[in-house]
Amino acid sequence: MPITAHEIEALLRQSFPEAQIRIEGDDGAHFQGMVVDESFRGMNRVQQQRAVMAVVKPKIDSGELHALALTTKAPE
Amino acid sequence: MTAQDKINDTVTNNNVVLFMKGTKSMPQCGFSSRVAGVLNFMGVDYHDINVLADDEIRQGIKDYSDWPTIPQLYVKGEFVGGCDIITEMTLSGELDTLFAENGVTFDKDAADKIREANA
Repeated sequence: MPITAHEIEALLRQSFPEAQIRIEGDDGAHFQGMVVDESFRGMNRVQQQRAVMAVVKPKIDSGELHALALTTKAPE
Repeated sequence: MTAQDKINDTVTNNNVVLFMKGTKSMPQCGFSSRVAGVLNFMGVDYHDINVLADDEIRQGIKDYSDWPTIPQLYVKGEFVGGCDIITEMTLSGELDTLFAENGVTFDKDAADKIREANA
């Protein structure tokens, strides 16, 4: 079952309510996005991306989401 | 010696290690090529491991870092990131800082040239 960028954004919003989130991609499986959240401050990029990927992992494990290329950072 | 032990020895005994598809002089994947190209251009002395030459390492490195993709760059035993992260860190100057903090020699002018070309 295909997934939409909006659904991924809504999923991430639950874990990062205050974040700036932008998800793009319209093939139902491969997406790219940016997540900017205060909780990332002091984390390196690997740690930041692990935090985001942990949220979508159930969708990856279920096969709905194939790829999410991420840019993550703390607000300037 | 298990693949995990081999990987741990490699990243512990070499300051900078790139696990990649192909070699630093002949990359066989666009993402590996991009990271190797940055390190080559910046004149970084690094150890390249061709995962295509060893299936145990190819899977083992993903288990070691709990990260699903290759290439993977390690500095002083720490996993720094893959192609996207290294590209961003190169352009933001974070990679320069990381190398400087860890005593890794690199050509600052070359790094600036990459940033100018991508500004």
